[in-house]
Amino acid sequence: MRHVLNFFIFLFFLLISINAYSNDTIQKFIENNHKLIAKSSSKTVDPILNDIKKYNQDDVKKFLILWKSKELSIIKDSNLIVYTEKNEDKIIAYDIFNNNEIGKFTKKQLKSIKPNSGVRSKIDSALVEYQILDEDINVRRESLQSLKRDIQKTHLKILRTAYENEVDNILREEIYKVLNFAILKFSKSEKEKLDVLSFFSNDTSLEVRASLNNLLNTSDILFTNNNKIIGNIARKIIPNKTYKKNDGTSNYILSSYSSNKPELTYNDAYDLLSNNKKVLPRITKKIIKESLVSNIEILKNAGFNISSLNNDLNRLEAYNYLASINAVPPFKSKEEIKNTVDKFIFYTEYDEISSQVTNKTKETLKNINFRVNIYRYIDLFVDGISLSSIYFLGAIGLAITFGVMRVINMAHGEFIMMGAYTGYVVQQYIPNHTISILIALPLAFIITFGAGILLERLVIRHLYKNPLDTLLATFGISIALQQLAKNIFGTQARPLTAPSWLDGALSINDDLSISYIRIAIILMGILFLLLLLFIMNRTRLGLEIRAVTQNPIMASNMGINPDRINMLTFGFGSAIAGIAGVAIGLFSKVTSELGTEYIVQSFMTVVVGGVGNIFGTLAGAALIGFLQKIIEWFNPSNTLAAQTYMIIFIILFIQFRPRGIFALKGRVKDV
Amino acid sequence: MNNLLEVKNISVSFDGFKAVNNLSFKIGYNEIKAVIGPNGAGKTTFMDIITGQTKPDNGDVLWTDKQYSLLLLKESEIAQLGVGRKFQKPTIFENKTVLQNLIISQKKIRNPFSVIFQSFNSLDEEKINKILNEINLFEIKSKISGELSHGQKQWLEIGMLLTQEPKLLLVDEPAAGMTTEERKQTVKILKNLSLKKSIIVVEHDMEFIKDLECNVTVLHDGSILSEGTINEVSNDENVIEVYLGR
Amino acid sequence: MFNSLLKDTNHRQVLFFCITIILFSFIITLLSDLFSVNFISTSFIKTLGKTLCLCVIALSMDVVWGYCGILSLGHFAFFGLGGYMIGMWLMYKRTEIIVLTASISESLPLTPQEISDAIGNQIFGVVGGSEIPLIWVYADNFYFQLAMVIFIPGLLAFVFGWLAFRSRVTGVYLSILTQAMTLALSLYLFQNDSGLRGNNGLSGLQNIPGYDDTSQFVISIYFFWASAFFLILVFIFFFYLVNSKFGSIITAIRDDETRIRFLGYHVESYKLFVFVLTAIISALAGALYYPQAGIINPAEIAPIASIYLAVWVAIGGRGNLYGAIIGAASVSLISSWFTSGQAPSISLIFYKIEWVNWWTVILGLGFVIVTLISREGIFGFLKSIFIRKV
Repeated sequence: MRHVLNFFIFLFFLLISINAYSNDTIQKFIENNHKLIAKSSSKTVDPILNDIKKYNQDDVKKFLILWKSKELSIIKDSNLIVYTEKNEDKIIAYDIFNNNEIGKFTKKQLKSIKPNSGVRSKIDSALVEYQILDEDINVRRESLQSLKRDIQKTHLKILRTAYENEVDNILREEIYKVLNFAILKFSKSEKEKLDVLSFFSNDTSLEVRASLNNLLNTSDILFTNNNKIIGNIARKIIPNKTYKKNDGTSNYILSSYSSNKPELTYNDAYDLLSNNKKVLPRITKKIIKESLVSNIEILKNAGFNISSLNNDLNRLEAYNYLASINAVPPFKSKEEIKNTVDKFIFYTEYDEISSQVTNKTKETLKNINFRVNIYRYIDLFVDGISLSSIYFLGAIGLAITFGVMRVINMAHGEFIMMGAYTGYVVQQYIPNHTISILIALPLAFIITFGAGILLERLVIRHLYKNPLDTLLATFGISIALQQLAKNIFGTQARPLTAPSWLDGALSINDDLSISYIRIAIILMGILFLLLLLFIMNRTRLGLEIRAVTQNPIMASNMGINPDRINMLTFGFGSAIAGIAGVAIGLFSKVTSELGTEYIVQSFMTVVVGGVGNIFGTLAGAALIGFLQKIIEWFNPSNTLAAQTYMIIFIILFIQFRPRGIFALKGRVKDV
Repeated sequence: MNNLLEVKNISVSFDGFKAVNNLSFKIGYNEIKAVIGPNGAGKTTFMDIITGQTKPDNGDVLWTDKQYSLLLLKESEIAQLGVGRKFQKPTIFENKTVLQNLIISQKKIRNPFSVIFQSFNSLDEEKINKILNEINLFEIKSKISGELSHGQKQWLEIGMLLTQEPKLLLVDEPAAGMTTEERKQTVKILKNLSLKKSIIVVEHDMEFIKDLECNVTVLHDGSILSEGTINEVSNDENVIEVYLGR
Repeated sequence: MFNSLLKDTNHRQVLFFCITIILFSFIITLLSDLFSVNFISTSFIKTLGKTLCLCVIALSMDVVWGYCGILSLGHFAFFGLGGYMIGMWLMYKRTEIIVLTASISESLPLTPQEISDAIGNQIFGVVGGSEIPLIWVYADNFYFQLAMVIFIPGLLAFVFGWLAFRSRVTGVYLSILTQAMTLALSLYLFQNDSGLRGNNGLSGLQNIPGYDDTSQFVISIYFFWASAFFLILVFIFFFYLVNSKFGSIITAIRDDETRIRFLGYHVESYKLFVFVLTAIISALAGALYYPQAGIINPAEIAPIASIYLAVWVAIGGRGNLYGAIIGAASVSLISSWFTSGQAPSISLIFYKIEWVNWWTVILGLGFVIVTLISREGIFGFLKSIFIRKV
């Protein structure tokens, strides 16, 4: 009997529930929640997205896709959410699920629903579980991408199913990776996590590193006054003694000159305790001052001389008096603070409870970071080469003229600038960037060659006997040319755009990508090196230039016309500067001050490299380029300091090799 | 024997070229010695080493009986010890007067702080006037030295050496470009000097060396080819082959 | 001292120079506001006072370059450093006065710590700091900072000079190195954590602590006279120095370094001596200049400033003290006239010549021409004309 009764009761409830279910359709749900749907925000949308899941999958999917793609509207009178289609002047509204036409409306009667990007990404992530099992591989792929951005706890299960069902091998791999991220983030199984860590041990991608670093997230600083600490401790913190290491552990500060500052001072620790109501607040100097100010009448009456309260000692004395009459809480001395703090142990815990997992993570990260560092060194190396190439291009013209003529051309930087402006002007007339660069290069060569010859004939020729005078005269030229460029082109930077095939980078992995423009610069440096070597070693001109460099008097006795050689060399050196200018203009803005930015480095390159030797300049450029990059690497925030240190280094370098790396030895008198 | 200067087995090479090769040389007090040799024999390098401008790869240069090594000293310190050098081309300060040239050469403390406070007293003036007379330039002592004749410039340079009061004089081709008359005068001055000082003369001109009547060292390819009086040397077959024979 | 090789006419020259400068100063003072003539404005007196300081650094440049042959592109850096050193005192002291004045209205007198915090906040707020850097520790002491005006640039010149001269870097190489030093210093000062307010520099230097009630006009007259006297002093000192045996030696170093070395002179110590001496005098000139300018920042130290200094001396005539003064005074005054936009522009049919834009071009080319035509600059040119007439 009782069983029968039970059965009926059961049946009754079953009926009710079925009944309730049949009433509870997705249409109803949407109608009930129309306000939240129409005016959704990323803060309010979560419950809807959660609750809607209980309805028919296809319906939910359809609704979410339409919602996301802004194709839903709400009828203002009936609050019905519909799918609309434009038809001439009217808008036709359809039912979302059965596509029945509901009616025609004007624009004013409808309000379209436009979820913002925050909402859309939430919808995306809710859609994932439907889409990741979609028949279309593109939909699956896209949904995986959107899932990856924000992995939820619920995804763990979905991903496992998706992984098992996926037929495409590549996508399956990707799903596996995302599944692993999800496991690291949400799995409760220690073993599973450890397996994933082993799987990731050689992966240097940014996502993996981020995911591993998340495993090492620690709590805020915690404290206890008994020795029992449960949980996975990341580090113990001893006030004034330990600092926080990058991997979340702590270590002792060995000397007071160390750049590592203590993570927690006694005062910090005490404040932490007082914030947690464990102790009374610390009396800071500020509090003392405020207390004295607010009790100033009491102090005056007590016979304190207010003007004597201009040092901490007297102020403390006054405060202690106030404390003694209970006007303020008592002062805590340094000793007291220390003693109180020393009763507590300070530490932080990992969010991850398993110490095995955190240890393995640390180890894995260490391995990964080792690899990452190698990539960074390679990156630094490529950086160094490209900077060296620039310095080489900038300096080689200078080095040749200085080697042959013992003349430093201070206007060399302005020839670089002239080359860059030539590139800019050509681009104004020839819009195709590839062709314009191809025209600009020889044109810059011709223009600066001409300018160089002009300068040599008009000025330098008359000053050979006194190199310092050439220095001065070319200063004058440099000042004049710079201002002239300002007058013609204005002070603002002009663009010299690289051809589009030079945009982008050769991306090898997350840490190593080399922009094509850097590669182009390096290739250009190499090309010039080879060209110069050919000219210097295989042509008559080169032979004569070398002869004049080594012994001008002897060369002229051998029938070489030094006047002609000087002129050609100067023109040639200037022309190289012009070409370097086009190259430099491609990656930096073209301004009238472009030359001055490179001139000192170019001089340094010549000085460090030694005179009259292409390889000397190459070595000088390499030394300076790499040095600058390395200093910047150690101190990335401060390129100004890098340059300062570099110049100091060069001044010291001159001490040991006054004539540069490749010096011409011999009885030749100094310049 | 007392040596003022002893050069011991010095060698020096520039980019593989041996300019001086295992060369040894001695000169005593109040002695005059001539060094001759064709171009590139290492004469100038030899002088550069003594005056400290070039440091040798091997060997040593010792000063007086006390055997100071000159290799450890700077050019200016060697000069202050008493090594004076006269260059091949007359190198005087052409923008200065004859007198100014002599004043800056005069033997005095050389550091900048003392120089500022030094005074030019009558004793100094007397010494300089004496030398001006010796080199026949007293009358034109206020003349800018760039305006002097070639021979006068040579003498002025000798005069500058004298005011330095050196113990050893290195004289590079003193007779180059001089007239016969001037050359005779120069020989006289040098001989006179050798009574009180040691002199090393580097010279091309055989006549001049004959007039000097001193020992001769012949250099060739950085080493000594022959040594002796001018007659001995000029009869040496090696010398005839490499030097006089050419 | 200064065993000089001078004749009476030379001494008369010096006297003539001193009298000229003093007379000039008197005339300027008479024409100024002081006697209500009001013919010359305060800012013009400041310009003149600054010009006199520039003449002093030009003299230094002339001695180190024209006489000793070292084309230093670093003397403006010493000038600027001198300005910075005295600027630290001016700025600190003035801020201290402001802080103390403001504290009177507070109910409690400030503690030393609070005072220094407030000063630190005021001075270093712009570079996001509030702590007073260690180098400012004696910035409230005038005599200490004055000593630093001499000591810091002197030390920099000594260390740099010692390294450079020791390794026998000469000629063009040396110029480039000095330029690098200047660049390094200015880049260093551009940093916010250099302790000298980065690219903001030091400002408000025209307010002299202790003379708060004195008008800027009177202060500018004081500084004008101080600059004039300093110029006279430096001129006399250099005049006797270059005409002494010491002067003979340094010009000999300029003309033939090797030769003078074989005469037993330690060339390096002479160069170092001259380099450091002129650096210190430049620094003192800077310490007089910047209170008149009111502001100093790292851009003032940039290599181009030192290059312009060389330009002045070369145009005026190097190797001659008058030349340096003529060059510095004329070129700097004319430059500031043209570049301040006071010069009227010239309208051609197709183009309007704006002097602000074209003056630098003319100056640069003019400089080339002077280098080509007359190594002795304007003064040499004038002299040659004068001598020809006689």
